[in-house]
Amino acid sequence: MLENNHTIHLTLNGESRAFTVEPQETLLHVLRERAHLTGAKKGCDLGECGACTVIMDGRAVNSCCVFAMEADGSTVETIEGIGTADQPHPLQQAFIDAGAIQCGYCTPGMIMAAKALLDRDPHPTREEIHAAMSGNLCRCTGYTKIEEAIVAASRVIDQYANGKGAQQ
Amino acid sequence: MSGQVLSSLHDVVSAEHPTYIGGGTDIMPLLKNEVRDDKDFVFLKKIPELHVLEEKDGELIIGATMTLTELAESELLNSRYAAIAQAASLTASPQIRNIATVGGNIMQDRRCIYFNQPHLWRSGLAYCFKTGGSICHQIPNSPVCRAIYYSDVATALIAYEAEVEYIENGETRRTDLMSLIERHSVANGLACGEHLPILVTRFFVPAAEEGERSGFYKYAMRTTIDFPIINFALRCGGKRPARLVAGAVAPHPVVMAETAAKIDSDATDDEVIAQAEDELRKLAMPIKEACMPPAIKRSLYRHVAMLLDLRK
Repeated sequence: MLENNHTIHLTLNGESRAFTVEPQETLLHVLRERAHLTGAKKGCDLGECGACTVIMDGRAVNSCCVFAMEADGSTVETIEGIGTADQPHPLQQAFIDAGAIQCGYCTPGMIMAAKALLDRDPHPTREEIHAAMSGNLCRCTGYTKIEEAIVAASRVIDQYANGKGAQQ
Repeated sequence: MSGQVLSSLHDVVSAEHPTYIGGGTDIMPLLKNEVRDDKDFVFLKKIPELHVLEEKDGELIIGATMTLTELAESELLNSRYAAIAQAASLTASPQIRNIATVGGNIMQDRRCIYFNQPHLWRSGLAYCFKTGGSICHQIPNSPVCRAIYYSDVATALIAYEAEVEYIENGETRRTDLMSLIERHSVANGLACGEHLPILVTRFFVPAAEEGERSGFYKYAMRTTIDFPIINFALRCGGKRPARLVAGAVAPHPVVMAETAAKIDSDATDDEVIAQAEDELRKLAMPIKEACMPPAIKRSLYRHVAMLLDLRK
């Protein structure tokens, strides 16, 4: 039978969570209004700007265009799950160091798209960075500093991997 | 409003007008813009039979819930069916490709600057055919909707003479993909209650022959985000006649048979390009698009040249 509400189960930033959702509800709505994780932003709300990007089952997705019911059983990672103010993720630190932030609205989506890239390919070329970030728009900084931040973060992650630093 | 997650094709769907959801990336903006009022959603991603990509019995089989990223990254497609992999890789943004499915891409809504707008924007106009009215704002004396079908993957699949399997009224059927898209296009030019109530399950592509080559070309305002202004897919070489298809120029892809014959002949590239321009002038039905008057689109017909290296 078709049902009006549905309980979905997510592994959200490492924790098992269950949410009762409506059929048309988006993953972004669940994250922001039910889980109160407001890092992922509602920008265009049409899948064009990338401000709502989160990682679902290892891939960057626009959470504004993912039906919550479709995410049932998935592992979801948001900006809140990758670092803290005291221990930022190397990408977060690199964005700060490179000045790759102005208004900051696009930044969580940018960092999650970049993390999805580096998780799969720790040594991306500039062309691969351009391709991976092509679904994220920034209207403040331009993209040069964002690209530099991702290159810098990949070097830091590489150093951790080679035992030259303490991986978080 | 209701929803159901299917885990098997044998599950019964008891909805009057079920809306089948692969990735949902095409329909979600339409729901938000209130141009569609679908109420019964049936989610397909957990059906294992629909998630397949393999060559078997002389055919390439592509399950409807394969994501565009999976097609774009497939070694099998990149090595033997390059046009399909290239088309998938050039569709939308990485985030969309990671969730969007090939079935949903084929069954996507046709688009138009008078239709793909928020409710408030559209409220100043009479309802068009696609919103249950009786006018096409693009061509006011047209008896039907003239919105364009923008799928990139369809262009490539049709270049490979793909067939499609689908379930309609409880029966499993198989037909050539072009026929289904033409049916879909007609129904999709009406309000969403009139859309085809079908569930696309698999695509079948005749196995690539030795020596065959293929490629896909897309021109868009913003390559990584926008729908195509025009796209082409060409399959040539091997023993079969060449096949050339253009997309984003009409309510369905158009097969350019005359130009394909020229490609197989000793004609020069310039003669092939001239033939393509002439053939598309007859087949294409351009409309007003964002920042894109029809005259500009017509000037892009010659971009077929981008694929002619495949002749050599």
